[in-house]
Amino acid sequence: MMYFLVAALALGCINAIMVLGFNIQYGFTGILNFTYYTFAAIGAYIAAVTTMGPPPQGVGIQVYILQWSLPWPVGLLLGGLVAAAAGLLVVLIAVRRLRSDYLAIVTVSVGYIIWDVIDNYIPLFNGDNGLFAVPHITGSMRLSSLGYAVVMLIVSALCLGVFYLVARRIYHSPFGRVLRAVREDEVVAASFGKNVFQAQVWVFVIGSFMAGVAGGLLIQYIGAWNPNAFLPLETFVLLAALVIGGTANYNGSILGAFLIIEVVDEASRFLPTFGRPDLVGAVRAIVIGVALILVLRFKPGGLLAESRVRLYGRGEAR
Amino acid sequence: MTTESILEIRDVHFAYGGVRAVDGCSFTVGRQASTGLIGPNGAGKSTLIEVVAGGLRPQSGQVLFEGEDIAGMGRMGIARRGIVRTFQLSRELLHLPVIENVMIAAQDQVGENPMTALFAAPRWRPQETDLLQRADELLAWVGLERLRYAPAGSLSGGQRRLLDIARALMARPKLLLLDEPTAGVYPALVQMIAERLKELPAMGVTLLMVAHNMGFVASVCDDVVVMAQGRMLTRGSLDEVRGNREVVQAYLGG
Repeated sequence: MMYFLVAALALGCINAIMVLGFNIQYGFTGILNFTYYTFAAIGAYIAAVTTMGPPPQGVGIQVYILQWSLPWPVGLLLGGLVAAAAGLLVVLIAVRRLRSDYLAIVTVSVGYIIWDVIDNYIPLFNGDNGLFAVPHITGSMRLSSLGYAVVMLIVSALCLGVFYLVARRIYHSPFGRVLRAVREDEVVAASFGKNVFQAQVWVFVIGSFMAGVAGGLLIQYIGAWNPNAFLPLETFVLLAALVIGGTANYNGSILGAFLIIEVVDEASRFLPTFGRPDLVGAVRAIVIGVALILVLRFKPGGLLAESRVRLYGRGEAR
Repeated sequence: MTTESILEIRDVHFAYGGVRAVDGCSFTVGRQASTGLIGPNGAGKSTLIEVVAGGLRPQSGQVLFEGEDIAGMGRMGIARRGIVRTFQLSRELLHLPVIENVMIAAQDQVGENPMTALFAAPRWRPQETDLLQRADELLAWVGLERLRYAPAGSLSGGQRRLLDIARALMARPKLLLLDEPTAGVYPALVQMIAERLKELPAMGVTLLMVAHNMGFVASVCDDVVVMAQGRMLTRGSLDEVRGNREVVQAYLGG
């Protein structure tokens, strides 16, 4: 029981990082990136192949690029950076000429393209079988499952803390105000001399970086990753968590991540199987859908509505 | 009034497909003058404002602002040169509080750079304090100070017009383009908007406004440009152009 609790908290922190990054893109700036989770996948793969060295023996054949043996924090950082670079590429191609609704469609196609490439080009990340037996970040140290969950909880919580401060600082800064202006009305923002495109590029890159780091943490924790783990639909669970927690509210992202992804999505995996084998999964999807509809009907801003603006210089937070 | 010009429209052409909305329009706007742009519907006034503001690229012609051709530079570049506009239909940032709607307009905010925003808060916080104070002053000037924290979407049509003006001034514009600043506003508030706009030339702001309310134009503008069919028909004081046969014909569709 203790193990499940700690494991759920660790995964909750990781998911909260993802929702927070998604919030910076969608909630703060209004960029709907339907392939957000793909950047988590990129971070996961890169964090793995830069730290796991040559394929481990005796667990099955794996092929993948790089095969570096860097320390895990470096792998995590590289995962974030490569995801950010991929985000930059997508944003430069897609955002330059596209309004938000068309951009959303383009992100879906980009997600499927990346997914297909990784799934089919085996030398990259072992194709459909994915990577497995990714070593623990504690190396050869012998730890119980609980012990490792505690280690991962600490690491994930630290990362979440840093990203939380980043999101909060962005929101309450003049940069955050530009993002909100871009979200509300790009024409008005540009008419007051704001660089709309540059703001969108930054936000896409920052959000992708956070997704990449979260993906890296995830693979370092669960030790395996394959294309089924990042079906483009995964982003919709994040979107549900974001909307239910509170769009554009950085506290809401954390609430939504724990509430939706942990309590509903993950915890239900521990339910005993009843009825048809796929019934639990179906019920899970239904519960998320119903929760989403209820929140949109009765509390459209989410459980925690957008933060009030904090104004510096008057000593008041409103 | 036109001792020195700040803006010169030179033979500007803009067509939406086959419709020649602005068709060889030329005139100048004097520095710190208040120029009214009037004319019947479809005369090309709003299109011309959009061209000057950078939302549309003219197919030919020049828009000289302080001697520099700004035609087709885009909204951001033109705003950064000191031309700010309001919209025919008020466009506030509806979910944001009134005070943020004003503060967003300020130019040269160091904290708008993401790296500065994240890692050098002491560099932008003092400026933020100053901006907040100026935004409060502007809101008090237009009488909206008590609505500081209200979402802009909760304001009435007239209050939004006032917010438009406060927001535009926050940018410290050299040239302020107003597109029908009194559309849908009740008479007492029209008076107040006129009073506020009359104070602007003394603050160093040049006004170019599209308006249909002739009483309003008479009280604010010292000079009127009449447009019809995409070009300037005539210009002068409101009384002068009122007596002009061509102007009467243009308005009556003759």
